Amino acid sequence: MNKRLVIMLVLATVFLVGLVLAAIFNVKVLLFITTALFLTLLGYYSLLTLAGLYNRLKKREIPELKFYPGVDILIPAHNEGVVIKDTIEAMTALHYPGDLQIYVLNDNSSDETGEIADDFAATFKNVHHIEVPPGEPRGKSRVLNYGLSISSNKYYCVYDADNQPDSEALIKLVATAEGNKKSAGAVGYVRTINEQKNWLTRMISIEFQVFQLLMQSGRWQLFKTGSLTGTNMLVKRSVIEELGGYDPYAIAEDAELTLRITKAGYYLPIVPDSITWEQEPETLGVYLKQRTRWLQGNLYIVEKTLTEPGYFKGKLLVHSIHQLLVYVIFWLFLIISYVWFALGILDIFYIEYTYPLLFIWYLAYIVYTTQLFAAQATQRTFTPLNVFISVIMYFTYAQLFSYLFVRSLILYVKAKKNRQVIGWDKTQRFKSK
Amino acid sequence: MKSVTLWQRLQMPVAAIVWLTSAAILLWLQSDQNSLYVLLGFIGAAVLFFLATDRIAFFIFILLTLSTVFYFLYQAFAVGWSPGEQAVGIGTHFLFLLHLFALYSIAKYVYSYRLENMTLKNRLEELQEYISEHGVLTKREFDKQSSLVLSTMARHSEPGYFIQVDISELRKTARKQALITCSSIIFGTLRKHYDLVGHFDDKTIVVLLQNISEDGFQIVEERLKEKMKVQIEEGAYEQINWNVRQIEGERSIEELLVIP
Repeated sequence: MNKRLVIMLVLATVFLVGLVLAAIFNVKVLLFITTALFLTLLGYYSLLTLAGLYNRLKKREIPELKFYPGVDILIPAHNEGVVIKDTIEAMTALHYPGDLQIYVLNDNSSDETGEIADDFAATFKNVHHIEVPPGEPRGKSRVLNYGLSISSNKYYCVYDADNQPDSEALIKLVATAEGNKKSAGAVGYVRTINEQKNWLTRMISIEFQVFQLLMQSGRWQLFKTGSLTGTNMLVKRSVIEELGGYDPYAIAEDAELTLRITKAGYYLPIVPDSITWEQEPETLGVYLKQRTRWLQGNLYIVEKTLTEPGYFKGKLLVHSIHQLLVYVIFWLFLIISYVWFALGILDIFYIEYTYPLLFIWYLAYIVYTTQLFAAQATQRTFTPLNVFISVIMYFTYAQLFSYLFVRSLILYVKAKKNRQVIGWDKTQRFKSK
Repeated sequence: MKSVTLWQRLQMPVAAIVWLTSAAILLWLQSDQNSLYVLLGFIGAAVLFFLATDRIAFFIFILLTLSTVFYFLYQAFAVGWSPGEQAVGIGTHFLFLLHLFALYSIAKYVYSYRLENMTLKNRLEELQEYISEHGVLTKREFDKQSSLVLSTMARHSEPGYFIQVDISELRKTARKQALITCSSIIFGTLRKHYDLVGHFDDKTIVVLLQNISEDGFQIVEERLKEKMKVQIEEGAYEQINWNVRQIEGERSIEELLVIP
């Protein structure tokens, strides 16, 4: 077993044993540690909210370039017949003065994806229908690696097969990326096209907006670091070649590549005005499936962060600490608080404490809801119904995280134990009306 | 016209009621010593929100929300609030948030009405300037009227002239006013019921003279230029480009704009 992993596992065990001992012998120490960590986390998120808002309030001019370099658009597609027509139409409507080649990377679709792509390829000079040869492991990373092997422009831009970017989205990404020699590309915003479908899609949309305000605009403002979002993201070919392409085993390939790009010392500027519209799951079943895959992808990254050297240096520290805060510490707190709550209700466990825990809970609720409000204000989606949904999201949507995390963790550990490769699970699309 | 929903009609009064009621309850909850400071705080917040744009007002709303909740937490630690006191603290803070949110909503509505009012005023001024006072047509109106006039001219084989007055070389700061002045001069010089004067864009005036011979046009052109020279500085006058074209059966402005 890897030496670093052994050290990390020993440290984690010591930490857990310490918590148990503290709980048995000195509850106040346990309470102090958890309260301090929890308040630090809340303080950090409040700071990110303010930084994100400040960043969005700033006026920014997108420079006009004398020369626009060539861009290849890569659209991985597996059975996307329901949405692919709208997607290719949006791609051909992109306004870009330089060479623009659009590649529909058909990953063995058995529906009408191929025929639709063929029709466009026969009509537009710059649309190409590429049939990706079958192979393992299945998934977006392998398809993108293939797309990179058959294209050649200076930049490539990834769009998911259900995306409809604004016509100016790409030009803004390129202009921003060209503005800084150390930038690996640029990342735009993702908005939800079916937001008004039901309460679930509204909640997903609000969650996306929060992610973009805090993790993109906020972190860019504070640390000059951003994350790739898997779609509406532009990357320099030279950078991906230097990094050896996509990791085909990474399920959250965007998050994984973000870490390697940051590790190599490149920037990923955020361009909030470059917008693509994406379809989100309309039913709980599809949502749970999609998020389980995402969380498994993030667990893979946590494993990489802990086992491979170099993840706690420079700007990468921001990403690594965040990954550990969310997927290790925050989750641990959640479990402790649930167990504590259940034991308290059953009158099995009781602690006499002096900390204002009730108010800390209220503070957490306010910080969370404030983020939701702030995100909507920047995207101008603040409606009475969205305000109401924001108020109840903490008690409904946010609580799904615990279930999803446990489910993903069990599946991940199981796959590791059986030495299985975690397969790619395609998100089901819905026909837009 | 867009119909106004019940909620749109009610939102301002509802926000005002929440704002005032929450302020009254919060003031009532204070001790006598504190109430003056709290009242001043409320007034200060209101002034701040109303002076700012809607986006800045929102930033202030979030800033105040987060700073006050952390301040309350500090108080809870410092004083050692009991669970009952924490519940009161939560209630008070939540009421304060309602107050702030109502204030922000009112400020946002007022800002949007102010903005709408300003836009409408500007639009009205523009229309008054170009159409009512000077009789100069907008591009759309010029296109509409000229196509009718040109068709009639073509049918009757009447002679006419199309003039483009390009003022793009003039200094940018003065260009807008120069456009209005030149248009006004041209319109005042021509026959009001026969000829058309319009704005093609913010740098070009277009003129359509109908049923006019070459000699007649020479006289009109001289008169026009003379009048212009009266109001426009000589150096600036030199920078105005005149493009004159005789109408020979063309039926639309697009045809006239094609360089032969």
